[in-house]
Amino acid sequence: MMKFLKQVIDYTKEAGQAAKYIGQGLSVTFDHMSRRPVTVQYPYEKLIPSERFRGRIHFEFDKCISCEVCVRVCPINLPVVDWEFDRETKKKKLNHYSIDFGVCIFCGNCVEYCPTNCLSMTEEYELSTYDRHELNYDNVALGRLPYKVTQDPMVTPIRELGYLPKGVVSGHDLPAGSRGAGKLPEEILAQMESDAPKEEAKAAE
Amino acid sequence: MPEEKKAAAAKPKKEKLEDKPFQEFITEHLLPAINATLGKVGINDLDLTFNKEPLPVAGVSDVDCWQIIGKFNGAQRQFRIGFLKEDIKGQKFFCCADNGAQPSLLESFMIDERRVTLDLIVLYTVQRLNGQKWLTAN
Repeated sequence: MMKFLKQVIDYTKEAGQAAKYIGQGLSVTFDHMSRRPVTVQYPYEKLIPSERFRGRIHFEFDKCISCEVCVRVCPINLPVVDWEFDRETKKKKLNHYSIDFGVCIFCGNCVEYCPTNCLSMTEEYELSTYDRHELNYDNVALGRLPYKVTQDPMVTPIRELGYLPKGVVSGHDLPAGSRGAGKLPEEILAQMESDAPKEEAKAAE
Repeated sequence: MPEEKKAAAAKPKKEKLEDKPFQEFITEHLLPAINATLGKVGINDLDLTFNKEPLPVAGVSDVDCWQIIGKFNGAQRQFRIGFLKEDIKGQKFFCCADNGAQPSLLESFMIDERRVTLDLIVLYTVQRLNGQKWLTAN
């Protein structure tokens, strides 16, 4: 009799344990119901890269003075600057320039150190090709206007969390003209300038 | 120091050329120089003209300015060097297009160059066209 009773008790305990574990496991699942939606329906929707995004490098042929600073500051001396000295005008004549984006780590040193600002970062990040040698961009490819998420009529640009209005957690279906939380730098500056005379007056008193 | 002296000695002669009136300088000195230099690198059917035309790029086509227009390779390839002011030291731009298309991108031309001389304009032109892989293969 006692043996039978013990079996019943064990069975009930185990059923309770199993229910507990299932509940624990599913709580992780149900936890997602209160989380922020992060899915972006790429390629129909794309996230807008942040301001200092380091994408494909843009190169302006006319501004380059063939100083090779970009090569020196590059961790792997990647940019290829093909120039020759023009004896008549005593100037370096830039023949070709190229950066292999299959090897580039997008550290941005070249852009930072370029003395004539002929290198710049773009927001272009879709650099997939079938052949890695296609990523070796020459100065013609580097000089093309970069792709922008916000200028593509086929793409719905989605803002990242930091750029959403206060209290909004999803970048989808934002009303037109909605702004991010906080003020823009120029607005802060304008306010500081308008406040400055008042504070001076206060200090004078 | 000797280099500076040489430059100083060479300057008076050069300055005369660049101080000539804008149109005279371009039609009588720059165009023949560009023609000769591009002839040396193997462009034989170059058609160089100097006209006041609206900018060829969509979006800014309402601006009239003087342009050196070069067409070659059976008029399939064209490049333009535009002068926004009637002054070779003023703002200049460059645009080019292949396969008889309209140029789509307006680029700066000699934007960081303080000295603007005949030789330098020719050098920059040849350099830019070479960069476009139009003169030689890479």
